[in-house]
Amino acid sequence: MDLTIRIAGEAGQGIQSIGMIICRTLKRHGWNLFADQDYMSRIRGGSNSFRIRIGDTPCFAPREKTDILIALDRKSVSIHAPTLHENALIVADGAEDDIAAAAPHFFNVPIGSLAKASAGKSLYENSVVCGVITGLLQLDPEAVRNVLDETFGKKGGEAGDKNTAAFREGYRFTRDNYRSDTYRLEPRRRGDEIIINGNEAVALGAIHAGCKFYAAYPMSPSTGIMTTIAHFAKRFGIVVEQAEDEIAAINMVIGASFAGVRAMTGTSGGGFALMGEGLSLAAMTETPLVVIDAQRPAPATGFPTRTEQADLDFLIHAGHGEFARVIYAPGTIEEAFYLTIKAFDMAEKYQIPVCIMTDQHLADSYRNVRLPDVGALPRERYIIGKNEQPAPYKRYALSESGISPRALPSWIDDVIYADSDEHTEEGHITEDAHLRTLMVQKRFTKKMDLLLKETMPPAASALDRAEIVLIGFGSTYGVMKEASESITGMNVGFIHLPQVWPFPAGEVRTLLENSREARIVSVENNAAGQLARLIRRETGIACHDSILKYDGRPFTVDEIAGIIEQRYIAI
Amino acid sequence: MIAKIDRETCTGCGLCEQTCPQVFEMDAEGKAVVKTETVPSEYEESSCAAAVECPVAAISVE
Amino acid sequence: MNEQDFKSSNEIAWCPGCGDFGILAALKNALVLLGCLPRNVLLVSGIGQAAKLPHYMNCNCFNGLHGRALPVATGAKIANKDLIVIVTTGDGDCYGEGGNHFIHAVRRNIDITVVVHDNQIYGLTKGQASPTTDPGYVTKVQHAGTMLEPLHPLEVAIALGCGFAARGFSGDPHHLAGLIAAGVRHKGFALIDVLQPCVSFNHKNTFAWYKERVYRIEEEQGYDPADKTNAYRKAAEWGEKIPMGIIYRAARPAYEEKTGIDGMPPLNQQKIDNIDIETIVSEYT
Repeated sequence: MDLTIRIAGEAGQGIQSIGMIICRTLKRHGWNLFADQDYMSRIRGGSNSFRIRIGDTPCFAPREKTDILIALDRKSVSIHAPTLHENALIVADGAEDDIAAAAPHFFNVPIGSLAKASAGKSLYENSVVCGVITGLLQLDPEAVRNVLDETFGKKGGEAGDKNTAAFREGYRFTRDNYRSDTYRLEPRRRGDEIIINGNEAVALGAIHAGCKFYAAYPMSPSTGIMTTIAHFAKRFGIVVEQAEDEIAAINMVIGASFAGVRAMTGTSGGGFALMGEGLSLAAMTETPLVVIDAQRPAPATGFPTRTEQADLDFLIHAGHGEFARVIYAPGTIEEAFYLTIKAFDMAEKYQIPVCIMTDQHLADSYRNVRLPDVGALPRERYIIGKNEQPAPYKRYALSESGISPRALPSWIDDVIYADSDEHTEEGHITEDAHLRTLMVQKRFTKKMDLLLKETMPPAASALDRAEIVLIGFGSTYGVMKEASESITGMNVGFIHLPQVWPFPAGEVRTLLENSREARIVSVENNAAGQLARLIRRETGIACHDSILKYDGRPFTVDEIAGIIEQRYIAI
Repeated sequence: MIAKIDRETCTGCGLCEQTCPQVFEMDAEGKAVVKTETVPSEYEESSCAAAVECPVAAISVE
Repeated sequence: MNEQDFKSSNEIAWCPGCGDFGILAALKNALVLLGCLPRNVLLVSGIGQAAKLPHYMNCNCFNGLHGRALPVATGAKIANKDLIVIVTTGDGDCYGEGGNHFIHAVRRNIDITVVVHDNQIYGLTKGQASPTTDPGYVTKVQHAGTMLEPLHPLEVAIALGCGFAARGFSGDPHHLAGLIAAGVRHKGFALIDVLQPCVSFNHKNTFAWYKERVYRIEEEQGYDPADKTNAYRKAAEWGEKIPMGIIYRAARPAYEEKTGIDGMPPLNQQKIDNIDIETIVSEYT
């Protein structure tokens, strides 16, 4: 079973809530899901869609074709006609819609009138649609109604009953008028996983890591991190502050971190550009910092609600001057959770800025997951206590490792000087040439050497006897995995990098040299092949080819498989 | 003429020492002190200037 | 504690006669008046002449980026509400580069004290006009004299509901020390705009120019700093007579009170090794 349902309509028609209600019900019945969103940067009108892929084996990426199109407005049918499977089912309101009527399978549902009949207002159309989908998939209506109540029931009272009435009407109409069992989904097992997206995974990771201060400026697609942390802030004693701009956000986080709190900010490429100076400040003052860049197509405003991986070069070089940093690029929701926790540990252990690169595809995509057990991850804060303080205390004491003992203001008798100017070991301004050299080695060369001993290992699969090796970073993990597994004409393996800086050159070189005769193909959502260039620069190994996509939409499994077959197998 | 400095008010800015080094100098604690209490006649004018310029009016020359 | 306890041995890199010396002396006296310990004070500054002040004090110091002192101070205060957080900044640092942070920090009403060394010029970069330079003042950049309307920081602060808006003068360190101490005691954002001569680059607003014009409003009969409309008028007084002292004061709930931070132990003392997110994971089943 590998079924893709696409719910499409205008912004504001409740598409996401319908999608989530169906996803949560399916997840509770033990089905595997990959749900992603294709939405416009607008609050009303236009065309948005919520795509749910349902499988009996875990799904990590979207498929190209749609099996069931639920069109809530007229133009959705024509917009999505090209992605329909040849025998796809279209569910729409209104027989005179020529494209719909022409489709091999068309289920005409008078959504509007059903909503008015059952609940008196078209406002309840999305509950009707929930009922329709429940009927098509022959799910247990009570199970869906429970989720419906949990979602809309919060409003309770009249709205709650109206939603239920509209839901039942949609379900009844479908059971009465749609006879086929093609899309019947039997409950498989009691699904005890959770269903979250990338932003929520990052937020839960931060909360779990003990983040107590989150400051940010709203910017798609990262805002979900702030809203999720804010939702749980009171319960975990976390302060969330919406800053006046991204420059304020990163400087607030640096101030909070200097005073001894695990703190984080999140933004997208444009906001990250404003944060460059702050990144450099964190490095110079050696104040731990965690920053999320949820990438979106650029330059400038680009596609605010779509996806891209074109900030790689930018993040490696953001922040003027030379300093040590770590950049993670989680490939899955589980990794986004884990690496956020790891980022706080690394930031405090090495007193450096740590960035996490996600993108809209990972941020807004949902999967049924079990959060990894992070019991093993240390909660060490690397902060010296009252009695361990070497007197007199020097915030930037030179040392073999390059790491100075870090104390918190007011926790020790001595006072602490931190400075964005070049500084002495005590933290006072200096212009001394010799000291400058030592301080650069401390903040850059020494720390980078240490960081290279603690990199996240690349994931590798099916490399031996591979004729093609796909290599990617961040959110392309799922599509590389499934495409390589689905291709039969050739042995295709893949390598995924959850960490892109410091670049794990040693591990990547070993992996690539072991598959010497394979064609190395980078898979990237950008136009320049930034990862391929980075691999060549850091390891000397050139990729033979790249599969590049930069139209703002994510790769699908079939798209990658198709390109490989057409480029390498068909000849 | 007699030159006196109100030590508590003096902020150690060093302007008097720059204006009239023969009469005023900065001590180890960074405060201005008078080298000789009675101002030699040839420095009366410059020491008066120092008194007028003092940003916190800590110097009196009578 | 006495003044020497707050002194640092660091060599002072200000020009002889600079107004910063008076502010440095006033800040030390204020901290002595308040009876606080150096370890519990955090001085945050941006970049500029004024921003070097923390290096000449024996307190915790975060000398950050030009214009960015207020967000850093905000973050530090949120992380450790028990810290006495004082920002030493300049008119360019705070009202120029950091203007947006100034506006929103006042709105936020975070419990910090902001001492602005207002010499009405950019000193460290050799004499360009700052947001508070008097119109018509000629510089190497503004050859025909500055043309922009000055920022009027006190009026802006009052308009944003600043609960403590005061003006001081570096030439009267004793009076200024009292203002700073009152500012620190004030629960919420306290702004002290301190007029001070830049002996190298501001040839108009000199020590003498200020000395002739400033007067203490406390000595004016019946001045009520709680009267907002009157405070606007007083804050706008400039020219022959320039008022000094607490121009506007109003009790307003501080950020820490509104957000509940006051009711919690300092954020940086919260245990983080016993966080169990199982309790919230159930919301995603």
